[in-house]
Amino acid sequence: MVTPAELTSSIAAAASSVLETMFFAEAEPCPSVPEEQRSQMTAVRVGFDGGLRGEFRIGFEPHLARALAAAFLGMDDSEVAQEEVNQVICETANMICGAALSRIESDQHMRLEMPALADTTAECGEFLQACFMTPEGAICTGVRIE
Amino acid sequence: MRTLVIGISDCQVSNQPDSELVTYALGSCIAVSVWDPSRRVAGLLHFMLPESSIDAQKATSAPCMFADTGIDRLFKAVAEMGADRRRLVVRLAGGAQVLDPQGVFNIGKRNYQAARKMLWKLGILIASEAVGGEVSRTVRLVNEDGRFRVREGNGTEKDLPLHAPSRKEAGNGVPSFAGR
Amino acid sequence: MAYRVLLVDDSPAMRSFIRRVIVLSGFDLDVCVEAGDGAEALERLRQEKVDVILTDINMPCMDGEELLRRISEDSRLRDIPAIVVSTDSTKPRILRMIGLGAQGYIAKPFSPESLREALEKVLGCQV
Repeated sequence: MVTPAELTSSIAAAASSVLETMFFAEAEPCPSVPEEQRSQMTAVRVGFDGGLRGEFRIGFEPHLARALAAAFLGMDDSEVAQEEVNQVICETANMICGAALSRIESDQHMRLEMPALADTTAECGEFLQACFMTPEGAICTGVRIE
Repeated sequence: MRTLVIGISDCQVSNQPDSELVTYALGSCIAVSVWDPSRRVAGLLHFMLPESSIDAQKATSAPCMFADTGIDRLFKAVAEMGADRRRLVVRLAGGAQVLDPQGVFNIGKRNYQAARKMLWKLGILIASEAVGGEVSRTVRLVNEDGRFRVREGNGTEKDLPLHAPSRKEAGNGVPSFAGR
Repeated sequence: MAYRVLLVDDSPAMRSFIRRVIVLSGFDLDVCVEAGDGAEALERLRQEKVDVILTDINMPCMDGEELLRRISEDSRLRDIPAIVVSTDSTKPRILRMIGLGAQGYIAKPFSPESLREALEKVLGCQV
């Protein structure tokens, strides 16, 4: 049985690893992000099953999303189309989820659903939350285990 | 041997076959070395901070202080001497955590990330590197054969290869593997 | 030598990233064929000759594991080297993919240099 502490620890490690390795960015855990910032975030939903079954939600502040896309694609922020920004944050969410689950359930089977943009205003009360701050903005993650 | 000494927030290039480029006392700073084996053009940058956006005036007056403007300056300088970006051997050294045992400021790591980000944007993959840790480093780039010698604070020396696999493991500590 | 590569990943962004790494690594890229899932990849393999396959695992329609299984069962395709590039680094999966013939396994996130190294080893060259 995975504890909430193990989950948040795995997500933090995964987020840090993904952002450092593929985006050359640093993410520091932070206790929370104000609701007005969260409401502006673009969120991605990634469902998963296998050893564990549930759902991740990962939100990115708009400026950060664009900066990540630019870094990933090797372009200037202004050159990146919104469609490309959405594709990159979907893949970023996919990598964070996969890396977190692989840490928690390294001996188990894992299957990720295709990431999809989600409704940022959806209720996430039952989601276990973890937030991170980068120089370009915040990332908020939530995970719900069934 | 003609020795060019590169100071902090400085970069120099050379197309003289008998030249060597040296920079000392890399703590959290990063040295970016570039070498075109075909044209025998060498360049070395010693920068100290990651992003020029923190000081627009300095970015103009002292571009080599920062990763982004410094690396841009370095690549333009070697190009002016006839170096071809596609042939360049790029190696990094430095980015240590010195005088900051708790890692509060993390300047070394941030400098490294900034260098990697800029190089990726320029379409450059790293040949090899000696970064991180808590030791100060001195580096020497020899134009004749591209040798890049790194001397660490404890006196150990090693030559960074012209081409080497990445030191990094894949995500989750799973070693990337290939070849059966 | 000019190489023909098949990239299989449901993320256009990741395919773009990998394609860029291949070119910047110095490989002479003759053709880069792309597919968004295993079924599309098989269709492309029927039409194009490739020298190496890079495939994700979690994809709609047909995942990477089923793709490698189909390839391993096809005498025309089974000798094409395949490198897995996936977020899934669980032990059961890695073992299954190796058992299906994967010659390389790169867990996301990965550095460009690690992908370059894997390609050099699998293709038996150094650029």
